Amino acid sequence: MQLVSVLNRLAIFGALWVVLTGGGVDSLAYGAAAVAVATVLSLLIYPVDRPGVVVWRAAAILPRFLVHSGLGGLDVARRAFDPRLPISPGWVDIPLSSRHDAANVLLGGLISILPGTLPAGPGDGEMDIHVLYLPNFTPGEVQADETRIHGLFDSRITEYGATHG
Amino acid sequence: MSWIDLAVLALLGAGLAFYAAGSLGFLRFPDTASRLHALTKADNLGLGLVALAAAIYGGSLAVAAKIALVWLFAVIAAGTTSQLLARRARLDEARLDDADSAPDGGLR
Repeated sequence: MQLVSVLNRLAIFGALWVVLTGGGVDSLAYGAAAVAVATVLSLLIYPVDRPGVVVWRAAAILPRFLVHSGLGGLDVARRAFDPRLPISPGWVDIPLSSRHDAANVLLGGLISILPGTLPAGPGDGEMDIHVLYLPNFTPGEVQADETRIHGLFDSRITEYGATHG
Repeated sequence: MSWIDLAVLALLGAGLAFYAAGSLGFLRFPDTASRLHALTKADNLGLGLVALAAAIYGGSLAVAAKIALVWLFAVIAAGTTSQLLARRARLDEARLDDADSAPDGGLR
């Protein structure tokens, strides 16, 4: 299991190197060294005994990510161009069900692209979220996104208090 | 001018319009966190449209994949740094509120 996780990371960093550099044969030695260093760093920062993200599940939410990124941009552009400046900003605190830092930071990243919400990072079991137009805000959407983010991880995420669908 | 050139021009124009919206929001919105909304969301969409134009103009799958990765890394970086900046803004606002409610007006 752990060896498979290490090989997965090697394969992902290798693929990134090929895409970014074109994968020339004459620079293979540098590429191999860069991929090895990146893999070791990733293992130090996030060891394989922690809950891992399942790559195909992350790929499955990519279309939703793209659509919301577009809607988020359209929403804020509309408000910026509108002469009446239709914003009603404020902060809300949403309790988090999981104590898993990486999942909570990932959730913050997802919320930051959604229309009208900007998280100030997870802390003390809750997420501080800045809302651009408070009357439109529904906390249930954040909780639904939290469940969605936990679903990207393997089942070990439940050890951190997360619900896993 | 081919249809591809027209599509590239249209995407570039739309991308620049969203960059302009981001800058306008940065100038017009009243507080730090609201300004971050403009800079992250509108600029992400602007960058995505400009990247799409560049990918079509490049005309190969290898170039398109490289540009898609650059866009993805930029989105991840923006999503992470905006959280750090928003946290700072949140702490500063809380500190100012505390100072306002202190009996001595926060003068220490």
